[in-house]
Amino acid sequence: MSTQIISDRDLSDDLIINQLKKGDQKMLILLQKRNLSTIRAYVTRNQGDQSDAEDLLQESLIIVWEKVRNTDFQLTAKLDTYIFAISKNLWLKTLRKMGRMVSHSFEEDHYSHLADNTPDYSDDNATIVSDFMNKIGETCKQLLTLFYYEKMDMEKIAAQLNFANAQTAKAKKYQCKKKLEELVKAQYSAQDLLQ
Amino acid sequence: MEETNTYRDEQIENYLLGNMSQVDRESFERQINNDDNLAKEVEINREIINIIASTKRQDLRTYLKTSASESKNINSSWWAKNKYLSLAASVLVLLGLSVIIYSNRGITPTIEMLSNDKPIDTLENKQKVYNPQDNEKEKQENLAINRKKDLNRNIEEIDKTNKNDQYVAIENANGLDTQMVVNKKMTTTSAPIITENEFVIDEISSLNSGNKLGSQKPAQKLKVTFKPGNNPAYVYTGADLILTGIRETEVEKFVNGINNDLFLITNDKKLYNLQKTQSQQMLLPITKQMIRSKFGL
Repeated sequence: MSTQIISDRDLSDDLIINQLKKGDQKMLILLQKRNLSTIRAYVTRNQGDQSDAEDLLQESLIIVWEKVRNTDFQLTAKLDTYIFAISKNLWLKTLRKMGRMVSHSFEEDHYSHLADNTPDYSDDNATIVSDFMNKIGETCKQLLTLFYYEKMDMEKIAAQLNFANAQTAKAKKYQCKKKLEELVKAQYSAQDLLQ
Repeated sequence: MEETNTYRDEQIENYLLGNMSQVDRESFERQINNDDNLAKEVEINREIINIIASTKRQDLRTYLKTSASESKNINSSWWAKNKYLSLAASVLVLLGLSVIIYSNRGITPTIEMLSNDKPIDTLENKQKVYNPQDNEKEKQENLAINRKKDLNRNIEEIDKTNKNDQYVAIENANGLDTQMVVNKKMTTTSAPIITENEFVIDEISSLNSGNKLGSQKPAQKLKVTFKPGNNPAYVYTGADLILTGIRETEVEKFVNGINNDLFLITNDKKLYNLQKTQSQQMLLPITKQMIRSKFGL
């Protein structure tokens, strides 16, 4: 019987994307390792440092994670090229936000169209939102994330979270959402009172 | 009343998650504009979805950062623990590299065995066997016979070991001979896709007007000029081939293959067969049938 060693380079883009769609976070680690040196070289050449490069790549991978979930997602280049294009667009936005000069030649790029309309989530107010989600409990957090973020259907959610069936999962989702809604409304009321 | 609320909740949800048709969406937006309570409900639901998404993003960030720092720690602790070993390894690598560079200097790419134990006779080795004073014609004949024997022997040997293995064929690049051997190469599950890393591109121009390299619809046919020697070749490219980040590997020679397809030999002594498939350019494994057919064996 022959033994074959398969390195991450042997994984096709299609396979990686399918795994990402299934929620396999290990693929993000693989892409992070594979792309870090390229992004680091790019950022350090363009007014950034190593830590900027790491943060930038992480933000880009989060965008990839979300993009592959869109039904109309279609990869028109190699996955690594796509990640590079997203990173470049995000880095340009960052430089502009910091008021740094960006040269014309630096902006001109024949890959930039690959990542048109790149969102920027780096300004998320993570502390406040994490607090909300922690208050509703782990099961609710998982359920709402699978439904609203991963866009998974109720049958799959029921199977993954060990609910009896899709209907039970749906009822639970309703309760969880109401809990979160109350917290958000309370936050709004408190803000109104302060204002 | 609860049923009405549930229906409304579902409507809001479908609206925010993009699960509504264009007509329903427009109609719902009109309702929002005319109903302040509904507008407020939609805003709260939008906020809830944002909170869920932000939390997940934060979890992903933490996951990636943890992995990156673990990876750094492993690397740094390994280097710290193995300071002397690392130093010794570096010296060995440098020595190895200098031996390789020195031994390759000035030698044209010739036969190389990738993973066979037995060395294969090269043209240079054969020239040592034959007396330079011999009759030229006799020498050439003997050379050709021995060459053919060697090639057949190697094919036979590989036949015995594993019939399913794939082989890389390398032609003597001096252009005078068709001396060839078949090297056993690691087996792959499928033919690897040729990437931009496998050749140096000197000049690229599109033959199809209106197509631009790097645009979403790349040219179907590109004229690619390789270094060195400006040997022109036509290489078909598919939608997912973007030519960038070229590694410094040079093309030594082009060879016309069977059915007018193109073989190219790189300086690192690999032979590639460029053929167009439906969507991609493939680096096809060279089979012994192809070699026999090409060289009339």
